[in-house]
Amino acid sequence: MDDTDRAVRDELERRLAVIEVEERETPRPPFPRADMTTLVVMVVVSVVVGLIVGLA
Amino acid sequence: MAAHEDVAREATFGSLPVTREERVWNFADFTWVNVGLAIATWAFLVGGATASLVGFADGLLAMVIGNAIGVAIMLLASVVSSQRYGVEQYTVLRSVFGFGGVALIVFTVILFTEMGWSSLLSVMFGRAVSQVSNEALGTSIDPSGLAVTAFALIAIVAAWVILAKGPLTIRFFNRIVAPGLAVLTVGMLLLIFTETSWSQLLDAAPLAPFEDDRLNFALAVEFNLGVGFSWWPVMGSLARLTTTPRAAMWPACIGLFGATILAQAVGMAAALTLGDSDPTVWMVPLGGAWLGALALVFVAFANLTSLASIVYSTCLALRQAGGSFLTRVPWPWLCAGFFVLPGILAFFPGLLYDQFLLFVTWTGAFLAAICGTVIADYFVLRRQRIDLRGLYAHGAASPYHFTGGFNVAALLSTGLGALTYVLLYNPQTLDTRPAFNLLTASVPAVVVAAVAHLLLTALLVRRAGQGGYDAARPVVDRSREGKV
Repeated sequence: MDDTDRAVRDELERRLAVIEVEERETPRPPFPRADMTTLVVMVVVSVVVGLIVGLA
Repeated sequence: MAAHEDVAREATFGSLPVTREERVWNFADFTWVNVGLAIATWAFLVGGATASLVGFADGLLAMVIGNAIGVAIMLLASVVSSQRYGVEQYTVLRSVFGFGGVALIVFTVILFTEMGWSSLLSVMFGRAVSQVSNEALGTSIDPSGLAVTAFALIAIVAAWVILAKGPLTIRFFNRIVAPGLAVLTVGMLLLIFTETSWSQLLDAAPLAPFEDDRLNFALAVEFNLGVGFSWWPVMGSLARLTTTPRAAMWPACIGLFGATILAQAVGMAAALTLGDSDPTVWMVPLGGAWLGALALVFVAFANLTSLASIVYSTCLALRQAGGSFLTRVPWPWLCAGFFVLPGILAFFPGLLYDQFLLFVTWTGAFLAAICGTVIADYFVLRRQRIDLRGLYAHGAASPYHFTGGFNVAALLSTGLGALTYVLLYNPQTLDTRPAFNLLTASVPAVVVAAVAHLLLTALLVRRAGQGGYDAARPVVDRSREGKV
């Protein structure tokens, strides 16, 4: 293991430790359900419009 | 920090997770990043290519439908997980494809996709400079002539010099180019409508359509789906720097959907009005000799920065996926190695540039299948939970080691998705099945890849106790039990 590998490993450990503390204090939420619904609606509307135009 | 140190730092530490204080982009910041990414010279290329198939009204509809679906799927497969965990997407992908599987994807699909885009941008630079020479010096350089090759090679060398100087130089040039292209787009729009009425634009015939109108429309939608998917290689790495899921998702939609369509529509209007799909041909007829030549010089310059930007992110991905071997290759040599194939392709200027539609749909076939696999894995199988430490553990110590570093289920699913695409629409032969006109090829490719991944994971991976899939559920269940 050279100096670069060691530096990367140490930095990774430092960051993972910081993130674990952050997660305990305020867990990161999953992607909001409302946003997912909006995105799906956007896709569905596009598909429906596409189907109507395609059939026409 | 010196430029070479900046590159070395990002190449070395770029794959590490970012902490909350390092997430610097809020909603407005990320909106500008995406608008800058969207309003680039490739938007004009897409507009021109769409005009070769359909008229303005159908083209606009195809752009809206194709980009809405393509961008939404692409964002779910890249932005969401990278944003939540603060990790660039090629590291997150280890949980889907395994360490070796990611390298396989990066060194095949991603490498050739980005090499293709690099070739397109360098040839576009060559053609823009040739047009300036023809206009200012009275030369008559052929669009596929040796001079275009020479100028394209100059673009590659110039982009390599910018790249070798590091990301700070790229950022500096992008700050000039992004607003400049926005001004150019608005200027083109104004010039088009001073010469052409709205009804003339709506009546303009497509440039090189096939006989079947429905096929033309389906191809235009498919092409724009491919354009939406083509953002996938870069989006996750950007989104990890955003502050919240909403600050990642909606700015990306505003930029890659809204701003893209605006720039593409201007390109399409110019192509239909002037009867040529090549953006480098539009500027002089639109702006006159001097203004047109000035616009072409700017387009050429803008292509250099776009070229440097995509090669920068790709070379970082190559370095991170290439293990210890590529980590030790000096940055300028790695970038030079990347440019070998685009350099060879510069000797055949028309090969990709005149077959732009073909190139985008071929890459779309694989990117759509990858997106389907990733969405099934992250949202359905893992329920948005990834073991962050596991992404960085080595060998069998990582739950994402799978079989020798490869998740066979995910790779097979991606292959099946791409095969579905080619069965419905073969970009090479242009053979289509009747279902293509209604379903397109990308959407079934996404669905097949996703369903195949769910089934194959149950059959091959979970039974073998691989992939850490079973770890996701108990964590959720325990937390629920705790609440009860």
